[in-house]
Amino acid sequence: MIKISVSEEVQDHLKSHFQKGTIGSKFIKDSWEEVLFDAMHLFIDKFRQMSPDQDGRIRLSLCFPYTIGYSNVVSMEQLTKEERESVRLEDRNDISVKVIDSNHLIPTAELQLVLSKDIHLITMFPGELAPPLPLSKTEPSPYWDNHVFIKPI
Amino acid sequence: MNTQNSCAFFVGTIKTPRLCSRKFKKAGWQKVILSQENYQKLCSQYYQSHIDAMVEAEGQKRPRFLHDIHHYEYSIPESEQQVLISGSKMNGQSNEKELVLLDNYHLKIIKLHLYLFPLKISLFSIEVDDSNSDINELTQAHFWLSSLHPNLSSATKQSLNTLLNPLFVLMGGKDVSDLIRNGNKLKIYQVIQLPEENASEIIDEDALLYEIGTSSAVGIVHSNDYNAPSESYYESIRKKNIISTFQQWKALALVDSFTVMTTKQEFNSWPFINHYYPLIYLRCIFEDAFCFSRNNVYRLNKDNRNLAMEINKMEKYYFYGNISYNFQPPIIYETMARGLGIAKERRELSSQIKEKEEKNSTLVLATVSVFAAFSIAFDLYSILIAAQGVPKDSVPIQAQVILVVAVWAIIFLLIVIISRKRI
Repeated sequence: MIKISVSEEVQDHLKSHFQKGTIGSKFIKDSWEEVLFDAMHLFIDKFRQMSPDQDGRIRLSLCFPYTIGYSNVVSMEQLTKEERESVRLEDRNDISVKVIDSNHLIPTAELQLVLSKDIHLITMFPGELAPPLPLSKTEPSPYWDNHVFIKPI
Repeated sequence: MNTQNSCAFFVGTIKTPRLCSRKFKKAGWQKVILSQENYQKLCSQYYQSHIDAMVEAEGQKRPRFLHDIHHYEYSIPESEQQVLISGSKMNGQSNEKELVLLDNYHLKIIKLHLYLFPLKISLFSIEVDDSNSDINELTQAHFWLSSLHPNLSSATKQSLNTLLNPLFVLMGGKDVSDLIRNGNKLKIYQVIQLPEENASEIIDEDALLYEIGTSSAVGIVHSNDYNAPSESYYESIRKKNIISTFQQWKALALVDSFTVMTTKQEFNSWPFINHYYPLIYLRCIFEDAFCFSRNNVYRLNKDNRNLAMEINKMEKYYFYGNISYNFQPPIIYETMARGLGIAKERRELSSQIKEKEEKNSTLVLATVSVFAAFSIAFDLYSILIAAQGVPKDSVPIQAQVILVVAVWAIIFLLIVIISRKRI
């Protein structure tokens, strides 16, 4: 039996990946449960064999045979000159993140799952593996310094 | 512990499809008709009347009441039979959700069955093979599948909807949840063979049988879990509903399931799957469906004018227990019927008939009373006329008085009859 527990707190956090108004990667499906069940069905062997990394967390990168969402995160290098000039800062969870308004959605078939070693879901999102946002404005984050959230117009 | 061999039939009621044989065939269903040879073999073990009431056989004439009995089956292609079962559970103490994939439960949906019975009662069943499955995952899967639980994952529901589509075509539904018409679950007929080498691991066979029969977590009977049965209830079920005519198997009959369990290598499951299920269990489910539907009509204050005739036919063709020349089938029939509570539903049907008979008697008495009232009125009139020495063709006032009294009496009686009928 493969069992993944999801706390109420994480359930609330996952909602941000389904709400249209907020910035960040978005799933196409209506609920996180559907996405996770689909992943468990399609990649059953990966779930059977999952084991923690050195930091005690389990990370799974799964590539679906179809688009599952929009990553809505791009590196600065992928932007045009004009787009780079229009990048602005916005607050997300008390952190300033780089944001650009654009219709250029980036579909993705990748799903990232992060779980604790006792198989509690910490987070999941569509797109490439990215580190978590820094916890404070002073915490350095080379990745987020070089990546931008796309806010659909 | 994994099952060695296990299979199940999930049984439910369905509105009788209005299709002819040709349309069933066009929809992919095959009619099942017993050859004369197999029919004769069955009749050597079971009473012919019982066989005629359950199966259609080649060239066999049956009473008119049994003409509507047919069996159709739909075979699922082997490459499409497998279904992964997953669903969610809530942690009772917090709002934490558990997403569960039963990766050690190996489900294959083999066939769909449709059984047409008299009186427009029809049953369907989903035949599954879940051999080599972890027993704990099996009970969880059966719990979810029998109730087509809302907690089943969308991924599983989608697979089930695809495989069960031939049933939806017949009944007009679209989703697995449409399959449950009465109540909140399908009934399960299951045969479970556990490996003989694991028999020593089973501390309490009766408890395990109860856990499988109720689709509960293995080990729950002797635990302090919130869902564990009370000792008194478990003991009463154990004493009254478990049967075993041979050491190699035992069975538990409940309202929602009939479970056969064995740990013997040499156990032969064939009669349980090919005789006791189609010839006895389905008969019990049909009887139960008949009793329930007719009692329900009555409780919803609707009238069934054919009830007496229907019960008469059921008494003749179904409501009897001696169905076989051998000892075991009647015992199994009795146990299944006891588990389903058929006797209670039949008693309530009988009380309906009694009530109808009482109403009819009241009506007859009331009718007689009306005529008696006329007769009394006429006699009174004649006596009064004779007493006064008045010729019969005169004294209109007295005649009027008597007539008024008689009419009043008739009206009063009619009011009584109508008000009783309404009750």
